[in-house]
Amino acid sequence: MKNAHERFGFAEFEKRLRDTTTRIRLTADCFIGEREAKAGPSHGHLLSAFGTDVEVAALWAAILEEEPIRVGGQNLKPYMVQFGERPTVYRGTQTVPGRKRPVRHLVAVSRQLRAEGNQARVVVKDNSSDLILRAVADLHGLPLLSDWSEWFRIRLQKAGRIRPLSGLNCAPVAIQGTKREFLEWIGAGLKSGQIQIPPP
Amino acid sequence: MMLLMRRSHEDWTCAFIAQLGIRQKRGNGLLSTAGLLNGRFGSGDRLHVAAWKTKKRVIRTEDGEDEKTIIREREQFVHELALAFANGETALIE
Repeated sequence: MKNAHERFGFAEFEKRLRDTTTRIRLTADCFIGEREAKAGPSHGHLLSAFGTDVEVAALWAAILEEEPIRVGGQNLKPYMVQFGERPTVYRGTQTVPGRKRPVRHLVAVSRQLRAEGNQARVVVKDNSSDLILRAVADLHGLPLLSDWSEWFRIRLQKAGRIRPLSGLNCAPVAIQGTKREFLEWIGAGLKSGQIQIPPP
Repeated sequence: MMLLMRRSHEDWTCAFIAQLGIRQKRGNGLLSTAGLLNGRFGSGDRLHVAAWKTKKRVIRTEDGEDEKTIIREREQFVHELALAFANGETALIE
């Protein structure tokens, strides 16, 4: 793809030692974050970045040490994020033809995105109806059919349960609600005839 | 244990007609975890959508013995079934 690099953002952090300050900057291709209304670092949920071996190792250490990382890019105003306690960090290597050294790739995933924290909140990478329905149905174990995706999205919007998050090369949202609540909605929707179960 | 493969949703009318070989307690757990018991079942008033979920539950007990507190944590897996019937009834069974 031509000009693919224009879609990239950055992830950088500063390490201050006694008398030196080191700034490390990596190229980021995907990011999901939650801007905090108050001052201070916001929450990061997903970061996909690549760089050299040393840069990726440094970012990996910074994420695990809960240091604030500055993330920005096209349509994303730079801000500081932290990935919180026990994020999962994956590292991989990609060999690029014509380059002497391979490119190192890092993906950091927060506990919230792994659905290990607050069970009444789901973070979804894209705001499409199908993906929202699939994510909520899988996480909560809800009897939802794929034909109901548009109805479910409208119902969530009416109740004000969709909160847009900030993202780089994606349109993430956070869905708030419990299993019992959603099950009540399904029951009411079936009773009112807004949704139907097609016979098997 | 070898599990029989489910052909498609269309061939099944109820989640509980699985063959005896896989209707044991253990078999149901495996099927529900694999998502093989999810989908549309039944007909008429009993037409419903079923969704199974396996959850981990930790039972924590504390016993006091000679100025010592012994904490015991027992982990168990439970299967939760959520049902939505065509007439609007819903159920959550554990």
